[in-house]
Amino acid sequence: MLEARPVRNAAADTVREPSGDLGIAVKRKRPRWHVPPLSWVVSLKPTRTVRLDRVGSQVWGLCDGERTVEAIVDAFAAEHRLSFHEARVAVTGYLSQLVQRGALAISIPSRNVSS
Amino acid sequence: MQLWVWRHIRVELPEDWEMLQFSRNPQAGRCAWADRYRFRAELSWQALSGPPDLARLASDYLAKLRLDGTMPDAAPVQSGDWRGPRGHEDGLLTSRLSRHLAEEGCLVELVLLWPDGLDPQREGSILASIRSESPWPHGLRRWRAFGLDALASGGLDLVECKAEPALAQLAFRDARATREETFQRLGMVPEWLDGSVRDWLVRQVPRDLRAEKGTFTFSPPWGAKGYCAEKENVPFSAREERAEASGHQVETVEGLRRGGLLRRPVHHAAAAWLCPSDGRLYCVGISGPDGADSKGLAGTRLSCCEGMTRRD
Repeated sequence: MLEARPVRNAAADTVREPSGDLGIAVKRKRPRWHVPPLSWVVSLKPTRTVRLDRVGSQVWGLCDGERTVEAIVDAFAAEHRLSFHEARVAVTGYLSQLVQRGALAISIPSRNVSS
Repeated sequence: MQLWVWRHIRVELPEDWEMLQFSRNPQAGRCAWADRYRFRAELSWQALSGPPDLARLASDYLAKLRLDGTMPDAAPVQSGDWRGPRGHEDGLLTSRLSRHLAEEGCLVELVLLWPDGLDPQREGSILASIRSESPWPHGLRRWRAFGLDALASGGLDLVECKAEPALAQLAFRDARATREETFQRLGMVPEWLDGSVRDWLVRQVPRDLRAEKGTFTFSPPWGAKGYCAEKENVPFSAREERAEASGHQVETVEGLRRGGLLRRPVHHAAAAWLCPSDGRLYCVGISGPDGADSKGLAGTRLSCCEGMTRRD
């Protein structure tokens, strides 16, 4: 897991909100049932926004597609003066939420996949 | 090497090994440490009524591990008072060594995993560091884990332990729940501390805490300058103080409240400070029927760094 690389969803747009939080607009997949004539009546937003607080924004900022999870944890630990495992729990919690909401994907090295 | 003290057992482990699992049960339990990639050490204990026949235990254990195939190449090892097998478990070289700690009345087993091969010097130094942590003056018992170096009153049980990102907390209580002691270490302080440490501390103490009657003298235990003030405004009116020790600005508060159906007096004292060396907020709180003194908390009952530590 530490060797994996979080990669941002290329179709996601980020918006800095006045409160300082970061909003990530992730495009939604159109549901199968959302077809005319139902779609004429029921409107669905084309995007879903994930809001991140200051700490979450830092984690998002570190996910540049180049850094591994381990490098992100190290950077986060140095920034907040945490131990490695404290930072690991915090960072993987954020990453897990971002993956669930479609803002991030995880790229796993091929030798790990084969094993 | 980093010192850990848990269940009155002390052990020194490499700096980058962190405790990820723990038990609060003093009769039987275990703690486990990991480096950033895998578990490296496990210390387990089992209370015994008398000293065991360790040679017999070790030989039986060795035979069992060989027989059930857990450690087919198990070989007996003896290092000082420690005995046990060493061999490969699931392809990983593993040492399983035990000894009896007479002062604690328990059998302890240390399991060490060697993914990069055996390091005899490291194993020897870890084994040599494991011993009983004797009671401190006044019956205080030391606990050292997760960055907390705490002295809890004797006779209290560890009733709560939190080890979360940026939050470590140890809480002790006696069997009748009349005395409680809490030690905290909080990180990422700039992210959540709005206001001063004093404001934060005042928010932590019971709302009905009131200053005790009588004369009040203040002499900081570190011999540094300090001041005291009695805050009269409602609702908080307990006594607050501030002192400075080795660059640590310690905020303290103490007072009296009435607890339970019989409205018995409960003394409460707490201290909090920011440690400049690690940027964490430390807090110690003690409450009980006998007088709790806030002046002896910081640096004595809870230490954060070399600058604050007055023992060892």
